[in-house]
Amino acid sequence: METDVLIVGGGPAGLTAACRLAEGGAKVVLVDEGFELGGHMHHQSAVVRSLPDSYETMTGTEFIEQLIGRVNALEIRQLLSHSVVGVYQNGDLGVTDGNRTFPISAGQVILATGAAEDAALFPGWTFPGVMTLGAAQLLINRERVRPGNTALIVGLNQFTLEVADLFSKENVSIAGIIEERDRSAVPEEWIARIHEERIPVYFSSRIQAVLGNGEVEKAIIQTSGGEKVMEADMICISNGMSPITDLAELLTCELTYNESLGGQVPIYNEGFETTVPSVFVIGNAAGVTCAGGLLLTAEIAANQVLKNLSLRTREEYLTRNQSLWEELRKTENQHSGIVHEERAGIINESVQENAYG
Amino acid sequence: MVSVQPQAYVSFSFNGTEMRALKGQTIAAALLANGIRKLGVSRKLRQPRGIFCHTGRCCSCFVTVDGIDHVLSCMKRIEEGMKIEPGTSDPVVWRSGDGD
Repeated sequence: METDVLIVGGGPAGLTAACRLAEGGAKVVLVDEGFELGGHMHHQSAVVRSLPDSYETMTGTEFIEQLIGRVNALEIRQLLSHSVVGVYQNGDLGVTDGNRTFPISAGQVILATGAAEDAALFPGWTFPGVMTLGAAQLLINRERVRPGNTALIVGLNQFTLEVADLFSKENVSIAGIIEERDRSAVPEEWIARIHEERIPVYFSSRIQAVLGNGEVEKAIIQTSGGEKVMEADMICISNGMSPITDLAELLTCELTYNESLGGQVPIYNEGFETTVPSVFVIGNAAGVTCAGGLLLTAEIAANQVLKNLSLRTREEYLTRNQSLWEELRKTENQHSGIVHEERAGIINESVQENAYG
Repeated sequence: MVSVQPQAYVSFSFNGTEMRALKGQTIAAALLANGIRKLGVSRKLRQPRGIFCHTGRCCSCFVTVDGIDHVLSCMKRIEEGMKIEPGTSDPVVWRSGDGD
């Protein structure tokens, strides 16, 4: 199979890039390992904060459905339930559906592989009934199954607040939130919201052990006031996300460690091109950010790719690049703390990489 | 939502027991809906395993589907008549010493 652009990952970033590129006249192949497009955002029933001003207020599901509608209306080759598993000697990417593996030859590759939820390790964390908070959210919103009756949540953050709302709508009771940090290290606004829902929060606490006959039934919590045994049939881990970099590594892109961007992240330039020419990284895979940030990184890379394919003049490219970066700066500074500043560091490394590499 | 159809059912079996799930559900979700949380055991210490990430990355939810082992139950939809068994075995890997 031959294409101008191969996009790996059909979440918000990958879909946005696919639309822009196809609209701009590029031939696009989109690969996703799931059986449907949309990525994590597809099953977010909460309103998406941080969408750029040009969008109306909507939930993650509504937003993604709209984007999928756009992709379906364009001539984009979609390969669902397909994974990229290797690189051939001539540089083609090896793609498989689990039975058949075949090469795709692409002039430009965009990695939009997203981020994965981080685990939290405690004795018993592998027991059935212990899962990521995102898994619990997906089971309710997409799969229509209640993952349990009574949950303990490990970690208090923005995502915890979002899913706590969902749990209360679905009559999943929350026995408590276990937070490692001291109360003073957690924003008052979050504590107030959890307090409103009458959910107990245990600060400076951790899970000491999970008990049960082959699956979660109880947990022993180490709190500042001593040990406490709590009954729960589900323990949900909300411990942040890290960029998924497997494919970037396979393609020999240089990575760097940046805690504010979620961990290991490929080094990239102002067009989100990695240290491997014509390989781009966008969305959460380029550093975990807000929803608006994901979309704008996709727009920026698409702009550069269209220029590389001579589908956009240098002047058009420059003007658009500048305005997109300005929008990205605004959006991220408003919603993602120091993510934007940290990107500058990544780009600096990229410059050094080119100079000395 | 998109995939799961709330009124359409499919029948399947787990360990020989007949079960029913909503059409469009993943194998993992279909089992969970039937009260099955333990999907298999770990390779070395035989510890119970179940759904962890439900996004195809953690490999905690392997099951055997119609005789094919190590199927990620969170990445595949349940189908009418599927025979599911828990993931309890090591993957079968062909080694040169095995001959043809």
